[in-house]
Amino acid sequence: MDKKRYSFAWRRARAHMGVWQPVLSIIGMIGIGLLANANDPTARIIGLSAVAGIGAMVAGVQAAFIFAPADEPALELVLSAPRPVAYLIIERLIVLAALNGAAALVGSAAFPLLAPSLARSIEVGDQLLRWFPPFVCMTGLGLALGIITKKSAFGVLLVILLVGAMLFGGPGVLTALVEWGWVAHLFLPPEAFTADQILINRALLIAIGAALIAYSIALSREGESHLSAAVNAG
Amino acid sequence: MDIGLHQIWGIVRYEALMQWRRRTLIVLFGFFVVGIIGLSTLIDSSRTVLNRMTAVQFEADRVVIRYENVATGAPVEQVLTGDAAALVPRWFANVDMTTFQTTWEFLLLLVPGVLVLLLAIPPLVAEIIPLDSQYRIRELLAAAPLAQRDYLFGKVFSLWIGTGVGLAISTVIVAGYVHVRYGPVDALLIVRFWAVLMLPVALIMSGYAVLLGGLARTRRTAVFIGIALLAVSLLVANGTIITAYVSNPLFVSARDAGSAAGTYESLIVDMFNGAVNGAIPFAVALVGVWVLVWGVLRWKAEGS
Repeated sequence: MDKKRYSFAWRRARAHMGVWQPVLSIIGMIGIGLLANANDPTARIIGLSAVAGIGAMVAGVQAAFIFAPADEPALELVLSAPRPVAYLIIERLIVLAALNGAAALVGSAAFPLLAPSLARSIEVGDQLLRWFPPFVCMTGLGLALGIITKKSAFGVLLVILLVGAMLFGGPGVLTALVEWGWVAHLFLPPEAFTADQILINRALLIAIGAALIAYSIALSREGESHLSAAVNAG
Repeated sequence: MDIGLHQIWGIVRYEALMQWRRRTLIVLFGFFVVGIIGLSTLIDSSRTVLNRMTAVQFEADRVVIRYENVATGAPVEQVLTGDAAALVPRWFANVDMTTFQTTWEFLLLLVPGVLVLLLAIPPLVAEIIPLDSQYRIRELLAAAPLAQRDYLFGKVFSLWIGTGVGLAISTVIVAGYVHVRYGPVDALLIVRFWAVLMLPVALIMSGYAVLLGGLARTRRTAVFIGIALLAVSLLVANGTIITAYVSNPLFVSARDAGSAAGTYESLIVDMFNGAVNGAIPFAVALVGVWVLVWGVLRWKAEGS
């Protein structure tokens, strides 16, 4: 018997995710670049983590909306359709990655031009390497919290608080608590740590994000509990 | 009872029940309690490196400061004379140094806790009014009929009651924890800090969130409005709790040592006054937002 094949619904996924958040992301990166070049103290604190910080935060916020059962319109129809919910999550994840990847690319290319005093020697590839691990981690966190708590607000909040605290607090936010806290820091500055430490940190962030995404897809099969959250106002 | 008041009370009770079901406020204040208890480890950190003052005694031409040695716990005495003695605030002699230090260690922890609370409130509570549209309750309420004014009053007051009760319970829990773990605290000062500083800013931010979130039709849009309101949260925090943080009696005394006149009480009153003055513009603007949202909801209702 032939295995049933389902098609992806890219247009619907793009409409659900929206394009204005990645546009805001680019505006934020460019704004911080300009402010940093003008020696604004807050922008200087964020410094070279601007692309990674803004990019990861916007992606995490968007991910919280990927599949939050209480916020999902017509969830009964989605759950009663033969196409698995996992398809819906995967296609929205791909749209999110494409939009935010494009935003990070534009931000990485523009940042050295806008803030030459800060980022003259930073390559675009280097910026993208800084952006990718926190992007995966925050996407996984936002998505998982949206499904676990059944609504997007908790994921949105935690992503904003985590990114904000680590962006402004620097590595000291975690290393003050535990000596090896650097392993889980979202924006570890390469100039202050060894290559091995950076490698371990980035691999761990990607692993955490990937594990959370896989867990979220596994949770998407629990249609009964999602429906219950949707009809009981979350 | 007047029909309008009866309806407002009904909305308050209904919204309170919905908040209980959604667990939003429970999660919000649960995080606050856990966060403050986690932050209280900073008290341990400071107490392992700094000797604790136990008493300050002013004599004719010298000041005697008694400490407890951080390593051994043994009493240590330091005698200051001349310019060094003049730098010690006179009101140190009139306060119980042990309670005073523990109380301020706790209050200075509450400030970042309240800042995080102000950031957490908008995205979490902005959904309150749109949820009624999402679950088709608004049509039922409109058929009651229920005035938009009463509906808004009921929603905002219900949230304010929940916020006040949640903040009171969580402050009692964290203050009790600090009292048991780190020593006696000045309960009256903590109550004043709660009533003058923490509660008003929490009510102002929850008011903005529920009213402006009410302009959205779906929960999703309301969460985005809540995200946009984070900028307002930072402004409110900057004008109130951060103002209080930098003007607390400990910092003021350290900054203006020698020239600082006044008593401990007058310094506290100055700190609260600064924060209240910072909150007034936001409270006035909240009234404007309330009227604006009421007008928009009325206009929408008449158009539908």
